[in-house]
Amino acid sequence: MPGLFGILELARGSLLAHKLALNVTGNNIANVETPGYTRQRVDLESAPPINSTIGQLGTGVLAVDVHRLRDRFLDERFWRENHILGRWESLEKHLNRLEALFNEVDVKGLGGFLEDFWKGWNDLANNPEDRATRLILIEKARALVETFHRLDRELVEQQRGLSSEIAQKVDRINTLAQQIADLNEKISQVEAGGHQASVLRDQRDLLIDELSKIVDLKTLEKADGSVEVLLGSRSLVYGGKANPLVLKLTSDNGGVSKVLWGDGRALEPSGGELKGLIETRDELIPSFQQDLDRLAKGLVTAVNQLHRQGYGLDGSTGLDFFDPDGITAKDISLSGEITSDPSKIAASSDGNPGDNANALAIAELRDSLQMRKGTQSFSEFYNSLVAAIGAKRQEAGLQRESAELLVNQIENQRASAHGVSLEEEMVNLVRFQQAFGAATKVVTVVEGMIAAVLNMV
Amino acid sequence: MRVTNGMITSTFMRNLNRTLERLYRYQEQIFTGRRINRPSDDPSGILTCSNLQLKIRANERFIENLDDALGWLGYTENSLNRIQSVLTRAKELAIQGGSDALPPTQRGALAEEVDQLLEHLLTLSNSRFAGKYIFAGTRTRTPPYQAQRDESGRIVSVEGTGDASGTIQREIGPGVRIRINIKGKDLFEGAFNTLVDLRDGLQSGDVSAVQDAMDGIEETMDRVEASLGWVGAKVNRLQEARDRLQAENLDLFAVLSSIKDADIVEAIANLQREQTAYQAALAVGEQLLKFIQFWK
Repeated sequence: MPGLFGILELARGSLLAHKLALNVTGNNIANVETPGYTRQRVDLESAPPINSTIGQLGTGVLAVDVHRLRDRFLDERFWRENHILGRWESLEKHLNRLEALFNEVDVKGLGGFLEDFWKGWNDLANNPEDRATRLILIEKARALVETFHRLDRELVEQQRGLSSEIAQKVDRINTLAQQIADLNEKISQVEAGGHQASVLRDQRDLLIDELSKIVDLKTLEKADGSVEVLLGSRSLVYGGKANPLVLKLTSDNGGVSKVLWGDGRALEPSGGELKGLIETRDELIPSFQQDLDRLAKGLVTAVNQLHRQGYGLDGSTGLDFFDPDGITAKDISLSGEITSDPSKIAASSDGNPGDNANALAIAELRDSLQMRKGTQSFSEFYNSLVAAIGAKRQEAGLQRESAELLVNQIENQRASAHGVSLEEEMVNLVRFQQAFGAATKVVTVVEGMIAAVLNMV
Repeated sequence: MRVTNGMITSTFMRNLNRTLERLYRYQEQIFTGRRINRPSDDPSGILTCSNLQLKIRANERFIENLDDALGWLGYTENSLNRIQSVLTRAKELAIQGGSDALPPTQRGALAEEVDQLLEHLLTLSNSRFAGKYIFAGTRTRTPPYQAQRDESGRIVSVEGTGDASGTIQREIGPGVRIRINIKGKDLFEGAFNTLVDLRDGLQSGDVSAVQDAMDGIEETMDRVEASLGWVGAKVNRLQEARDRLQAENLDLFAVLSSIKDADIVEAIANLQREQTAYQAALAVGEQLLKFIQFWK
């Protein structure tokens, strides 16, 4: 049978338990804006009873556990979807820049300069004898050639920028992997003691959140509390060990870097920002470059072939207009003989200065179906390249939007399950405060009772 | 659903951002007047637009070429008319000089006038349009006819400097070329010698030579008449083609505008709608933040 001091002991337990609960509530409130923080709860249990003659008597309350309220399933859903958002976001960002390069709505681009070039030939056909018209044609051809060069340079520069961005991402993956591995080790140490390592788990989840946007990953939680992170079928993090990725320059890929595992096997990400970057650098940009090269080659070949058949004002014939060796967007250039003496431009077919038949034939290449196996003119070919870039950019935007919607939705569900609600915490604050106050009341009463007993002596 | 404080602020920010994004789009449409401001706004639309623009620019070029051709032909017509007047006057003089009743002194005066006409015809045969000899075939930089003169400077004979038979063309439609020049060879064959013979016949009083020359003049006049007919028909045809191209471009511009341009009234209505939504969102946000503040 407990004495008065037993009741004091009980009240002390209650004070302690509710102080602890207040502590956790206060901590929740303090972390209302902390990224990745999961609200925590104290589990209160009634203390083991003692047997008395009238039956079991309670001995107060015990705070048995502090743990976080986390829904693992929502986390896994988030990690499964986040890489899709990452991939489209990075594609959209880079396609935006590519699109701007080819956007001719406001400024003149390759399409406009190509039109100008044909106009130059048309004007020459109207004035084959005129020297000024020839000089203008050369300027127009120069502008066209320089636009090819500029586009090629910008594409190459963008590829270079992508390579360094890939390097940064790989760096970040390695850092995150190492941090996750370190946390794995600490968590399994702490949890071996039987209690959840809430704060460490919050930190680890936040790191996986970030990682899941860069690459598509799978996670497996082990019994010791550690998490294995898999990229494809290989583990990036296993327990306390991280397997860092490396970058390797390869010659077979145009001198760009490839992402490899430590043992030399290639990493082929199927999602995430890394995938978006690699895709843009190794698939999209090369396909645009190839189209530009095709256009340059088609142009040089067709113009030269006709040009060689005509005569210049000085009777020269058999000359090329473009340098026949420059058949890429990078190398296309005008023939030196033509630029140093514009009278060598072969407008004439019969050798007379007033004859414009050859200039007409070249001007008519504008409408001639020279590209895509004789189905498109040069300009149509270029226009469909621009439209294709626009379509890719549009698709990336739409996909990003729908991925964002999904990720936001899961994010909301997570915030709903894991986040701190100040209203709730305020109610708890009042609840625990009152319980605490009531416990102090018990102490006061028992104290009075003890004093009364002592006064009896 | 359990709603946490983080959800309220992040959802608010996301929605506000989305409204702002739409506001930006409509504002851009109004400022540029265009619905399509970059290929991704409407990839198939931009393809249609740029191919329409190709067509419009090609038509503009054909119109330019037609203007050039019409200028050339107009000048040719003008020259032909003047050649015809020279020949008409020469014919009148031949009729007068072919009469036996005419005193020799007057014949001499006629011969003098024919000599002037001969000089005039030579000048006309070397007519230049924008610096080019129009009757020289493709040798547009060389005068097609050259006179041999005696010591007193009188024309003895006129020779062609080349064959003057090359064709000059203009492109007036995709792959459609038309000839714009009349070959001097067709026109002036024998004309100069006829006038030389007429002058000399009048000078020497050789009436039968004068009468022979008249046949030659008439033959040349027929050729000039035929050329004038050819030029007239061509001018008509080219003017029609020019009108047609201009009408076509007006239609194409209308189609282009319907694809490319923004419906400004609609864009303004949309902008106002988004503005209202934005202001409402801001007002709600203010309330929300006050509400959250209340707890703190």
